[in-house]
Amino acid sequence: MSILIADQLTRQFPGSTTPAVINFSLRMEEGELVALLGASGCGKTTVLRMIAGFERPNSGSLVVYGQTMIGPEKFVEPEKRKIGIVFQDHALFPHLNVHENIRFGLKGMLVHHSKRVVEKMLEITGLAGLGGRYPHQLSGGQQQRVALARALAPEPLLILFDEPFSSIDTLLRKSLRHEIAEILEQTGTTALLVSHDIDDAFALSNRVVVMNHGVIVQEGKPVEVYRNPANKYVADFFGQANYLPVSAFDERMTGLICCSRQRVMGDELVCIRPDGIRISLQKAENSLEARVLTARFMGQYTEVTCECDLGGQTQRITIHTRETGFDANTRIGYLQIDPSVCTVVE
Amino acid sequence: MRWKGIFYERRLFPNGWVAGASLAALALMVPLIVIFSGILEPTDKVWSHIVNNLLGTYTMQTLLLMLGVAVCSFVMGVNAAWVVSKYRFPGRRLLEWALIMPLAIPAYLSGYAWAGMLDYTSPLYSFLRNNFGVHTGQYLFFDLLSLPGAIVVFSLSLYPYVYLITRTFFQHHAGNMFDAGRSLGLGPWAIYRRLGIPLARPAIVAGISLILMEVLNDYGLVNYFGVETYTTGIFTAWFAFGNVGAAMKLSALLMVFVLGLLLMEKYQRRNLWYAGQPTYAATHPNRRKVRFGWVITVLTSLPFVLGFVVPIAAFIHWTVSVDAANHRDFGRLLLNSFQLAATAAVLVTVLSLFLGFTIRTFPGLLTRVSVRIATLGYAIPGAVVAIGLLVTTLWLDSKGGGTVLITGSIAALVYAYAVRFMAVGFHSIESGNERISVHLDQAARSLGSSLWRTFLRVNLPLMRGPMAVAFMLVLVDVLKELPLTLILRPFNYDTLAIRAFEYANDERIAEASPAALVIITAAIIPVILLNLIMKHNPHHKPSKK
Ligand SMILES: Nc1ncnc2c1ncn2[C@@H]1O[C@H](COP(=O)(O)OP(=O)(O)OP(=O)(O)O)[C@@H](O)[C@H]1O
Ligand SMILES: [Mg+2]
Repeated sequence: MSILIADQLTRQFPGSTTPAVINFSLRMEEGELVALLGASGCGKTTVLRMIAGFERPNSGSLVVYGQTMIGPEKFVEPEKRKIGIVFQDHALFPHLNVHENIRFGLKGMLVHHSKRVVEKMLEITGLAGLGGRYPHQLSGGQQQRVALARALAPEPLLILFDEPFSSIDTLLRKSLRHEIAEILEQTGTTALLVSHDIDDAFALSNRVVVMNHGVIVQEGKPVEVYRNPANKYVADFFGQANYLPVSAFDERMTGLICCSRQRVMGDELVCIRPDGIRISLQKAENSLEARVLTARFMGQYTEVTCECDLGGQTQRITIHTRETGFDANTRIGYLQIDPSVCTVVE
Repeated sequence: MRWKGIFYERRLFPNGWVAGASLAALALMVPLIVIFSGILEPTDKVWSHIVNNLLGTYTMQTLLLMLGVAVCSFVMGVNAAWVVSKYRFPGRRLLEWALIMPLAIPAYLSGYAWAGMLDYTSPLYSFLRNNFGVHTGQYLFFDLLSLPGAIVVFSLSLYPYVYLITRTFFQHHAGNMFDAGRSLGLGPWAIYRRLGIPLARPAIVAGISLILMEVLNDYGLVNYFGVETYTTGIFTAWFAFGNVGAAMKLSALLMVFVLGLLLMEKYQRRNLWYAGQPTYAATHPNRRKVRFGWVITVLTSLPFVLGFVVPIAAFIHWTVSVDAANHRDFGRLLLNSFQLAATAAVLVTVLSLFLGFTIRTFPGLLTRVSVRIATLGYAIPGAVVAIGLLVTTLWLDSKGGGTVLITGSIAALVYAYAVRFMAVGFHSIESGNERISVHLDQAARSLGSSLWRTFLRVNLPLMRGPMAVAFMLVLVDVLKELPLTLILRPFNYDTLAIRAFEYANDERIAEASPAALVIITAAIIPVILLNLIMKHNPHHKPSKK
């Protein structure tokens, strides 16, 4: 059974001319981890708040685990939804200690039972022994984990994260991401994560949904969205890209690149990731000669910018290569473009 | 030139500005020092009489009054703040600010209005008696002129302090905490009980401390309602026994209460939990709709109606129905009041501008301490300031050859106002200064402007708005002021507040109405201003003003 079925959710705030979220539809299966991505102000938080019940959509419906939460004539208050949420600011209750914070949502449970649940949550989240501390006595990462433990304790059907790592520094962020991915897997929790950091999405999710100006622009596996962005917005969102006019390629390449498209107008751009082009110092079959302008060592890769003649025009291309031997003195390189990593974007 | 050398080069004071600020602070501190020196005065017969027969009552009644007002204004103010912040019901937006309005009516005037209405001889009572045969003995419902009556009236006119500060917390500083609570399965009332009140506790305590300081400051209401507090004690000691030493000792004791409140307020304010940055959703909340919205509307508007509409309606009714002959010297009253208030307001504004510029330019320890001291007066009850100054002027007059020159002069009165209301003026100037970059001053000075020129040509023109606000706030506060004026005013010098007090004590409350209405009308302006500030700048912490 689908955990979540959102259908055509639309939300327009009073006083604004355009809706913040337009016809948002999403289906999530049990145990899935979905990341909702998009630039600032594109409506991600609004989607999350509608699902949690803090915001009423103007139209659309929402079904969670077979129960209609939002529908015609129907609106279930947030406290009745069994949907957990982890906020960016953690929203830990400062007047309660860690133990009491986690127990907060365990109403109507016998004391010794709820105590056991809390102990278990503390264990899972690696907070054992910190139950007596108050939120201000914890580090950012620990606070983050308390917020997660608190949301997980009542065993919600679904858990929502709104930019859970944005208040945490980069180093800690990385390890925390993996820990949380593990915890979610271990507890079999279905989660929807909002972020504008693509690393969060790659590290945590099986599926990403990209939004822009209140609408979903693309949805799919992280690698698909990365390799085959639907448009320039998505392509840019997921990192650096080279854009070359379709006309720069010969008949055969164009056919290979555009095989999935009905028609080609001739003024589209072909998007190629910097790591989608191979560059080497040796000439090989079908390779293109390019003048290397700069080659900069970046640690994991070397960033090479070069110019080459394509379809009668000079194009500038950026490439990330792991091959050694490129440095400031390199003058010539040979390119090989794999059509399967090229995508046509508008 | 030699004294200047000692002055500056020994680094007692870095320069004239800081020296000026320190001197101003010292001057404004005189009444307080004098009061505490009162403890050292030898005890006399009057004092032992007070200690043996009255002090117990004063302490008991003051404590009961404080406790009662704290509880009642908590019930009115905090509930209203929660309901207005979290629910949707008819008239919510109107009520959100209307609930602040009772602040415009000084407690003593509110007390006179209620006393006048519920009096045995009042038209309301005769109406009920004649038409419905209501005979409840001497009193309509209960004897209003009592400790419980005073508690109710005080709470009705002062609860906005706690309402305002908790409302700000609920709406702007709680971040996502209430939403987090709901997603964990708690309903709205459980959230209020388990999160709202505990989280807002520092705000609530701070608000209630402010309210209680006002209660300790009051004389008009406790006097009329027959409650024997420390303030009534001070008046008895001075006016009935003519014993300034006893008044000083009582003042010093009263200051102990005040210091307690002050510490509590400061401490709690520091503890206020700020749950991160206010989020967009938290500042534009999706309020919960309630089934019987109009019931909430009626309940929530009660404090506003009883604390504001009813007293004003009563005063308007009496003003219209009173014989015009009684308004004869009203023009003189108006002139006296406004002249006095304007003079004090100008003095405070000028001093505030000076202190504001000094702390901006030389924000050293000495300046900060000086400003602290100079603005301490807002916490000191008017009667205490008055007694402190009275003792000082009596001493000066006795040294000056025995003629009464300073005691009972307008100058002494204005000086006392400055002591008491310095904080009000300084606060507006300070917040004005905070909005102007210091780089402006630095640019002017690098262009060769002296400090004086920078002050006059750069700072002053930019401070026009805050200056006007400071002037107006002090003006209104002086208009409303009663206990200080009663003690220090020149012989037979009447103001609006004094006249209202005298009429009321002559059982001619109706005739006090025109004066009361003028005061209230003037006081409405700052209340509206305060509301605007709080709406647009939720990070502004409401202090006394
Ligand atoms: N309560 C509200 N009232 C009015 N407008 C709102 C409200 N909440 C959000 N908006 C507007 O709706 C749009 C979407 O906001 P939302 O908070 O959902 O964006 P977001 O994708 O979460 O952005 P960010 O990444 O910055 O958190 C924004 O333009 C915002 O200004
Ligand atoms: Mg957001």
